[in-house]
Amino acid sequence: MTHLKALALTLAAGLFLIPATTTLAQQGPLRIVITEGVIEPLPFAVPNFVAENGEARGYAEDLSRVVASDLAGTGLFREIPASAHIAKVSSFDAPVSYPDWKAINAQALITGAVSASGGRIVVKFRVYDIFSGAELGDGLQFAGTTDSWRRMAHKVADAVYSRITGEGGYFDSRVVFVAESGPKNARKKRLAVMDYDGANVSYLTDSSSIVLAPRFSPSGDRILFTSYSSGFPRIYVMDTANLKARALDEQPGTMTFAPRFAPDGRTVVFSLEQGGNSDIYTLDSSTGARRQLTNAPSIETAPSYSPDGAKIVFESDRSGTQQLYVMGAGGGEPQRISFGQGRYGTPVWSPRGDLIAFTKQHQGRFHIGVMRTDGSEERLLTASFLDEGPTWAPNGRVLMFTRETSGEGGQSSLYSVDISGRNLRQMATDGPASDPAWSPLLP
Amino acid sequence: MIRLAFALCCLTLPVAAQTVPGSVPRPATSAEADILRVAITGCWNIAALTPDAAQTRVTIAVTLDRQGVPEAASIRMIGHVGPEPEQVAATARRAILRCGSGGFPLPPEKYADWRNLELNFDPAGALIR
Amino acid sequence: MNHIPKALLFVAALGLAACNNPNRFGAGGADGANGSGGTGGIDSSGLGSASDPNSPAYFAQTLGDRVFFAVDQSTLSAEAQGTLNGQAQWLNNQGRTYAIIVEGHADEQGTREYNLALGARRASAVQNYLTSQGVASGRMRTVSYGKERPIEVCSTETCYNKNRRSVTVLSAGAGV
Repeated sequence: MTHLKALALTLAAGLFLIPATTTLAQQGPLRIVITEGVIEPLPFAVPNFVAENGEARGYAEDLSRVVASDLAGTGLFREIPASAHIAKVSSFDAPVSYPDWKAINAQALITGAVSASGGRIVVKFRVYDIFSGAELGDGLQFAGTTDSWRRMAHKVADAVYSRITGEGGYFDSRVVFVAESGPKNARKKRLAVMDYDGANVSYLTDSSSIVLAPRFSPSGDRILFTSYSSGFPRIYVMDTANLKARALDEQPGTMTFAPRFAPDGRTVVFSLEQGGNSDIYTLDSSTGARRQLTNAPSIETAPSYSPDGAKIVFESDRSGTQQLYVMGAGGGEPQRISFGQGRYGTPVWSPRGDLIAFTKQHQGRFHIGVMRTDGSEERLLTASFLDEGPTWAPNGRVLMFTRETSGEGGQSSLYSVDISGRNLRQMATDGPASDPAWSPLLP
Repeated sequence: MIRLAFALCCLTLPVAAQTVPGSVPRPATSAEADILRVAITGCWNIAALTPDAAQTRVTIAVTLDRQGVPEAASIRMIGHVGPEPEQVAATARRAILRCGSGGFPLPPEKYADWRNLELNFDPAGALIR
Repeated sequence: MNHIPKALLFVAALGLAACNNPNRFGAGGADGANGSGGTGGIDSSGLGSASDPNSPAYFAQTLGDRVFFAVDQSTLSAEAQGTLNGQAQWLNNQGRTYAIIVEGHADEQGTREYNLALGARRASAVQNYLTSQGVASGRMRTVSYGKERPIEVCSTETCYNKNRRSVTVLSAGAGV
């Protein structure tokens, strides 16, 4: 136990004890300590949104289904099916019949309405805390083109999630990844991007060259990736608006890989290999200025910035096995943070700044895990033949990663898991997929 | 508030010296406290807490009516130790209201004893896997 | 908006109309990153016959174009050094006929990034050894494929030990 935690406990104990002594004297409130709870999805109801005109009819149901699917997909919520509903919501402004929703144990109710005309739709919604008998926050409205109806549903779900949990959502986001095809010894790979839930897939490159490990810029306007298009692994940066890609840095005789943007969106940190040795460098993508951050004969790779841009976590085998290290953004002496059994790689700093996710190999198995940024409180969330390369949801609550099955027919797919270790899910992709990287929440 | 509590804690330590750390002297033997603890525990859904919030203890005050139903307007956080207390308080509030919506099964003749409650919610131990 | 009562609805268009271009990521290929390069990096042509001691096929099959490594290692075993001695002698006798690419590979037990770096270490170890045996370093380049191009596809050591390899690939032309 840390000193701070001990102090906190002492303080907390103090808080609980004093009133108890005063109680004896003056019959104050009854004090109870509750140290156990339940871990179960919170039941909610999303009656189909009301279509406010004929054109909206198709969208109203689809929107409400996406909202329900977003919420239920987190594992934190459970939808009560429409067949169990007692009350029917036929008007957005009608008063809520709380007893009817209480009767089916709905704890949250989401109502909505959609209108559509001239290629645009407007969706409005309200969230109710049934057992408080009150609306949770104020009603909200989104307007956009009919093409963007799924995004509007995700925005509604993000708002609902945020009101109920008190933390930001992650549904209105995209994932860039590597779509795979072909046999294991001649795998074809191309860059693709999809909504976080697997919808709206589009391909960013063809499969003529191997492409690896794409990463979004902090604003989502560019994608860094490694491609063999020159015959050698090299980092490229693609503009997502026009899909034009250019080599980030041309240094003949070297290999560059494992790139990631700094939070400033301008600096790129990456590995550069020269003469068999990989070290970590940064490149200012505006000026082209390059800087070497590590200088060791060991393998230094997979760098990732802290969200404040002050530190970089990376992996190195300088100790003899792959372990995680943290150094200042300008380099300097790194501090080792991983000390458990096994090998640690691909560290990624969470967007909340509180945790580092990583890949761990131990006794022939692969795990995705998280630890505090000082290496304490390590927790393994998954285990399989091959799990690797975690990426954080924009709210720091969910990780997506690559899981590959073994053997001749082995294939990669994308999985997600809650940082509690619960709610492991395979993402819906058209075919085999690897190397996911989550975008920030879209504007 | 925490500083004050700390000072008082040290002054009253001799009184509390007999108790197991974390327990509360009088209510630990109270049947009413047990009824409430069991009921609220079953409704306190902590699945959605973030790791930070899961380290936080909050103290919630609530007043019950004579039927044992919590008065929603009376529910308020009166103390906390740790980050993101609002998140924990929101889960606590839902637990109290949901479990108490039909009235907690408490003896009416002791209404004065259980009318006002102070509930300390401590998720830290509950979420350890 | 007029039909929404009590001003409860906070209007949040959030620039959806302006910012949400569904074709933002579009479809189709990008230029710049899609050039040649092939998928395996082994662009061999005009191999000749393995029985012709001057042919690349002889180099690849009779002399042996690859050496193998232990788990996580890039040191050259005595057997590997023997193979590379044969390669160096052949390459030196051929004059500057062929450009040389030394590929480094890893088995699938490792993360993508680490295996790329490990493959580079292996390729570099071979390149350095060939240089020490008189092959002009200007004729050689290295490339790491990490775990992207296994030769064997099973997930046991019998396949892994064939995938932890370096391959010396010849192509026509006097240098890189």
